[in-house]
Amino acid sequence: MSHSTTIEVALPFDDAQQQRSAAILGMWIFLATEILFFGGLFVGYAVYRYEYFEAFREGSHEMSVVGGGLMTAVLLIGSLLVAISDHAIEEASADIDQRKLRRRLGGYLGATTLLGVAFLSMEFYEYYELIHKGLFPGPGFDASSFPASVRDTQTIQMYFTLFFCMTGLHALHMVIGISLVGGMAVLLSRSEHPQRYANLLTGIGLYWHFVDVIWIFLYPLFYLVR
Amino acid sequence: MSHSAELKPLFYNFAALMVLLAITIGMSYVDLGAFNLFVALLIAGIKTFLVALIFMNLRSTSNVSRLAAVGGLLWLGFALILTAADYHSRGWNEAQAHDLIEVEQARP
Amino acid sequence: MKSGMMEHALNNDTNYLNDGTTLRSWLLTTDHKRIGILYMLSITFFFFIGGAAAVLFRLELMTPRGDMLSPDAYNKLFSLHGIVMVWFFLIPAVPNVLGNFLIPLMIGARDLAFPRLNLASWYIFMAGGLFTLLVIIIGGVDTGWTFYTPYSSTYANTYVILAATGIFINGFSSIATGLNFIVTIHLLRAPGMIWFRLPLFVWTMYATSLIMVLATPVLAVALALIAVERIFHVGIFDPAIGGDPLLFQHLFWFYSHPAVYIMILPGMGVVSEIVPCFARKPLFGYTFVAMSSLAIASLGFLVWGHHMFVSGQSVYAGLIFSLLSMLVAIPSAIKVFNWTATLYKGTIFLKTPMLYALGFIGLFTIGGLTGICLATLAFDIHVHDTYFIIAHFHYVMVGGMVMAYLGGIHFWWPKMTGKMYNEWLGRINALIVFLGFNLAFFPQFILGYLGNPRRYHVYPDEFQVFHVMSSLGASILGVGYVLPLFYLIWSYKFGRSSGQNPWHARGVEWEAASPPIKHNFYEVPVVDYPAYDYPPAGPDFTMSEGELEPTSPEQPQRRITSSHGT
Repeated sequence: MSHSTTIEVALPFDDAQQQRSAAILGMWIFLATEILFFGGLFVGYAVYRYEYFEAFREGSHEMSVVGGGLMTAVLLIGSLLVAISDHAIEEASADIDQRKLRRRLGGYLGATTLLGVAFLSMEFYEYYELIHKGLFPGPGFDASSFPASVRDTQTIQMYFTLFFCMTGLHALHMVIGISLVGGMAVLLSRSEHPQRYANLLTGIGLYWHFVDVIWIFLYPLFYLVR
Repeated sequence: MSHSAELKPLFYNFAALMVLLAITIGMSYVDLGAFNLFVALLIAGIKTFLVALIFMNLRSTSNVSRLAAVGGLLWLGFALILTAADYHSRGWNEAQAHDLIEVEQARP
Repeated sequence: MKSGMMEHALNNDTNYLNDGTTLRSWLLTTDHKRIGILYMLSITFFFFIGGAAAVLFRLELMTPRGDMLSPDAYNKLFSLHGIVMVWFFLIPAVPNVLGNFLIPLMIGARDLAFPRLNLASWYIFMAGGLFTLLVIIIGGVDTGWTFYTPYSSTYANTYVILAATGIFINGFSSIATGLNFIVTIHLLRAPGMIWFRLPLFVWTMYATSLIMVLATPVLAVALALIAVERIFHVGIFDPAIGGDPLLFQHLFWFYSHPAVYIMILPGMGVVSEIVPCFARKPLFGYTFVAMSSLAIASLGFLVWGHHMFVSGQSVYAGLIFSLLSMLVAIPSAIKVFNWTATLYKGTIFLKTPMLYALGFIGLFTIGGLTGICLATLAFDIHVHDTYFIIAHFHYVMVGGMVMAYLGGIHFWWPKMTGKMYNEWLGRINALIVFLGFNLAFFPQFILGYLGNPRRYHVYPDEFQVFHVMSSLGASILGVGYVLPLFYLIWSYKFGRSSGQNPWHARGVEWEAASPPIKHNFYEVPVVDYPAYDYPPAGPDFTMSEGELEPTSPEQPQRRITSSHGT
């Protein structure tokens, strides 16, 4: 840390470096639990895709490949901005113009928040369309547009059940991520010494990237079955 | 900024991710049979690796943090492989296909 | 640190217990020791709730007919017993009480890495626990603690979603604690406290934390899927619309099998501390015992399918799971053999904690060996879902973990309170628990072998004698659980002072005052000695008037050095 004087070291730690290591390690362990949290659903996905491949292929035809690709790109741009912010706050030296740093961080993180909202808007529009077509799983599910092989066995429903469960859980994580990044944008753009929050920003950044990575897998698994 | 040179890896990484995104979309239109899934997952894996290494700074973080990341994936692997051991050898799919309709009819 | 010494000299009576006595100072504390005490009070409360349920259904089982409880009430009671005992007693018992209290003391840290997260985990635990109790008060749940689908997802008419929510909330507490422990053990060890000087209790806590962190989220998602299925009437686990009920069992046991190691590993850690102290010998095979904890934690993730041998799971998968399950016996046996090797030619003092530890070794061995029986496919098909299973896991959970928990509480009671309980009562109580336990659960092995299925409120007449024995044993066990409540509280109020280290134990935690000060040590200890550095040969203590007395006046005194200047 080039500017450790402004960082308060919490009681259990000897110095700011140790505190930063703990924050980063703690976040990575949390992300490992998140891998397993989504992992339960990925196991379910693997099982049903293995058993009902036909249904997954039919189901994925309802999805927009380009739309999903666009959503992926939106998330990746957000990730780039978060990485740049994290880089800026860590590398900035003590004598840097704090006002300029504040403005940069606020701008990057604000833009990331908007990108997150854009992603969710696209996703919810997609939900709206699917629900409109009667493809929301449950008693009201309308399988009539699908071939008999996946319609009569109801296996087509499983694709949509998993789609809504997995993208829904991802969307929930996005909502949390948007709140955190948006909160950081406000906090950092108003703070006298943004670098005090470097550990917090790194942790939230890791979370944001992780949520991205989940989507990197969800996209081919639901949109690109073909 | 004086450190703009160090930002370069971030931009290169982003460019690589976009290229991979384009490839994964393109490949989905080529019928490779079962290999489509393999290719899609391989590309997703490479993208994940890049995000973790560059954006999430795993290249310069402590070994323990790397262990946490790898551990999470490894344990997910345990869950997948041993569950697959059951489904692959159970023969459920064949039985399921004609039983389903009877179950549906038997339901009140 | 110099000022710390002065403070010590001037203010000898300040410790974590009397440093702030208001309710607020307890409810907003971030001191790991106080949070440990908060956990101790809460899990004791939950333990007696779960115990009360057991009392009721053991009473019902005195007769072969259902004359006291309706079948529904019986189902709800055993579900309550299972849910409360597993998630609100056994899993948090040793980790969150003794682990919270001892890990920083044992590794020479001022606190856990994230003290506020630690407090938050207690609040989350209480929220989850009280929510679950509320569910039970408004009508309860009758699925058993296992929530098997499709019963739980399609047919049960009780409060499944709400009960699952309580457990889901509690999961965050488990994860927060595990995460906190891992970061603490990695980063906050005192100078010189290298990995292979860590007490084995810390090693088992590390292994336990790995399980908490990696397994709990899978349970969360499995329970969430049940809720989704019930709310939206989709068919993730419903065979009528293409789902597979067994998928739930896979997900559930991916958590719950490793979770049974959350319920036993910490107990093994406690025993590894008690045995060397009261045998006055270094623990035999330290490295093997340490590594066996990690082996149990990792192998524990690969064996879940042995709960599903008769469920319709593929028999080939059953074979694999059966083989892998047997492997767990190896690290478990390493531990048992090393404890007994530690006892060999030791100078054994049968103090209260040691009685519990010895009870643990014997009962855990029975529990473990019957576990190998159950891992055998053919045998399991005969006794699956019978009282044999109940007896097996109670030998591990109650005969193992609860014994270890009680042993640990007695062993570190002087550390926690600075007071000594009545040794005579303590020993009598250990005996009561041991006898009561065996009377309660050994007959269940026979019942199960003879074919009495679990979870039924009626049974054929010829089984009555075993059920009566079991209920009688349970009553004796109940006495053994209530008695410590009284004599421990009495000792806290009126007991004699224990001194800093009444057992002359050699762990770093005993270098701190008893009870410790707010941030544990006056000086950060520098550890330049191995764990369990009890003198390698010959008795260094004799028993005099019931107390350990050093045989030679100059015991090796440990130097407490400040980390400053090193």
